[in-house]
Amino acid sequence: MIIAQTPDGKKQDIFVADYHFHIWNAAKDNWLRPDLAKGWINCFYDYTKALSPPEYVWDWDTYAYYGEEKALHDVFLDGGVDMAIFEPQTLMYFYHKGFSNVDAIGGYVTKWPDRLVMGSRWDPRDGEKGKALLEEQVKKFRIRPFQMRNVKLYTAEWKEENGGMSRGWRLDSKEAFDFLEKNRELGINVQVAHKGPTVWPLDKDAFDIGDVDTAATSFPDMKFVVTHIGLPRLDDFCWVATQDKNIYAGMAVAMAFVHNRPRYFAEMMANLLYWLGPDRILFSADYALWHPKWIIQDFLNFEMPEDLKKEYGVDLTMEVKKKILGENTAKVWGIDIEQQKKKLKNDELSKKLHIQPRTIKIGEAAKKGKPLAR
Amino acid sequence: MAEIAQGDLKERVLRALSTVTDPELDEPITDLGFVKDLSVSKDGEVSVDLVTSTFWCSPNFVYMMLEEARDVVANLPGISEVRVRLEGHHDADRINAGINAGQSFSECYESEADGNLEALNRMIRTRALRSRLYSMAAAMGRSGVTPAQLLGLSRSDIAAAGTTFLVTSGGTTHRISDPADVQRVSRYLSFLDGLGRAGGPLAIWDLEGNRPETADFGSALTLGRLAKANFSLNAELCRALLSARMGRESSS
Repeated sequence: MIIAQTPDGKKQDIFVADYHFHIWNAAKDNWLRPDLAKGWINCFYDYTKALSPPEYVWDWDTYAYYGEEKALHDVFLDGGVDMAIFEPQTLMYFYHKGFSNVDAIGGYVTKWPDRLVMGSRWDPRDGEKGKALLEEQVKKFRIRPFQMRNVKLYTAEWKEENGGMSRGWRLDSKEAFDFLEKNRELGINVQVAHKGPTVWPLDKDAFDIGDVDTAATSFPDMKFVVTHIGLPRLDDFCWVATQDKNIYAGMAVAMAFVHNRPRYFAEMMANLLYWLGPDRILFSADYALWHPKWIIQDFLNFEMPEDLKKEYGVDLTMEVKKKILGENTAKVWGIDIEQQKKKLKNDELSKKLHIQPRTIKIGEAAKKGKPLAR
Repeated sequence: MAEIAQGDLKERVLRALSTVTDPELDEPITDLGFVKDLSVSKDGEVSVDLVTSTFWCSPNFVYMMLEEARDVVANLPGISEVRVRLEGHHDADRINAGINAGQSFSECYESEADGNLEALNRMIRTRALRSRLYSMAAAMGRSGVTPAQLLGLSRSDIAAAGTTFLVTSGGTTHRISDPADVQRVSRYLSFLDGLGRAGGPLAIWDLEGNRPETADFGSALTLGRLAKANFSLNAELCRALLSARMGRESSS
């Protein structure tokens, strides 16, 4: 829980839900294909370094595998996040046990079911076996009404197939639609779509979100979160989301621009608010890529520049920030915020880590012209 | 003397490379820091080492960029051989072999590609055109040329005058002199000239040279604004990533 304190002394509670959270394992003993496994985690590390305040960049070994305890401490105690939703990325072609696999996630969620939210994944190339597994996971992990409601759909996952290598899949294929039908039957109504740099055939645009558009139109009762707001195709994303009201902007990666690229962040937010409005933008720090502690502080202190307010006719008020930080995600996942707030005052994790509401003073640092404190 | 000529050749190679853009970012590869090393021998043998911001950049866009880099250098007078080498990319070996053997993308990737990169190239270039059109229109607006007036202008109504541009619209001459605005106009015009459309309307909306719809020009410009925001976000992210990457690789 965040308590935002404005210069006039007023305080307000802010419920924070992060839709895109990870506990990954990229330690060397988990590397199946070392070049690719190393290339993957190094690329993540560069993302972190590129956009973080320097004091939040860890040493490489900690980054490769930080484990459950550190993650809980950073996100819930230091960060002030109330709930974090897992988005598994298995990458079985790169890592022996996967980069962040569903079994491990199931273990964490079972321990902390009011804080951590189970999301699974599927791959249409897995066929009936994949569907049976999904059914089993729903039985096992639907331990709260909001659990097992989402799947991460990483379309650029490499996979060994018929003796060759397949570089990805499309969300508008018949096989993927079969899985979406299965999701509907199982009540998994949030599809978190994530584009990657390769997809077959390679002459096509791997980042094209046309397939999400087709799926969202065909399954209007389901919600589709496009992670990192469709970058590098923000323009396509906004255009498609303007037409399909069941498409949401997932702010993983995009959020991190707020600290050392504020003008770029402002232009991005102006466009999202202009095209989608404030109700379909979902917060994420994308931990452990970035630490929620500074991201939330910077975001709450961020002000839309006057020229953009005028040009786009939008603003990033405290009301809008509250929607983005938690209210929108709560609606998508069916989380009752008031009920959850009560529960989290004294849940097992709060007791273990002595979690207290985190107070963030708004406006002061910016006014004094000082950099934001840690 | 030979040394001076060689230095001059290197300068020309760099200038040629500065006309190559990363298609997804619409910025020159030289500004992005992608040209890691360049050597020119006295016999005119050129070797260009390129690096991208991540290990995972899409092979298709990388291929486009490398092909263009190879061709602009090969077309310079005095060049006997060009070797282009991509470093630190997940498919570097394959791409390097393909590029230096003069293969097309589909020859290089065989069964993994359905065709060549023409459709992809057109898609991304159309975005670049629209992004640059928006920036040009914004610069024009600041100099007193309204969007409606802009739609009526021909390419010949705008001319360079020293470090400024003069625009003639409805009998009035407007001067664009702010350096950033001059740059915006210049980037749009160079795109038009690259399409070989020096004679038609100034504002065009697609690669065929069609004008934007008059009634909808306002919403067309908001799409152009979005395309511009997308390019500049991607380019900034790539610069930041490349800088983090170079820092990591030089310290390990």
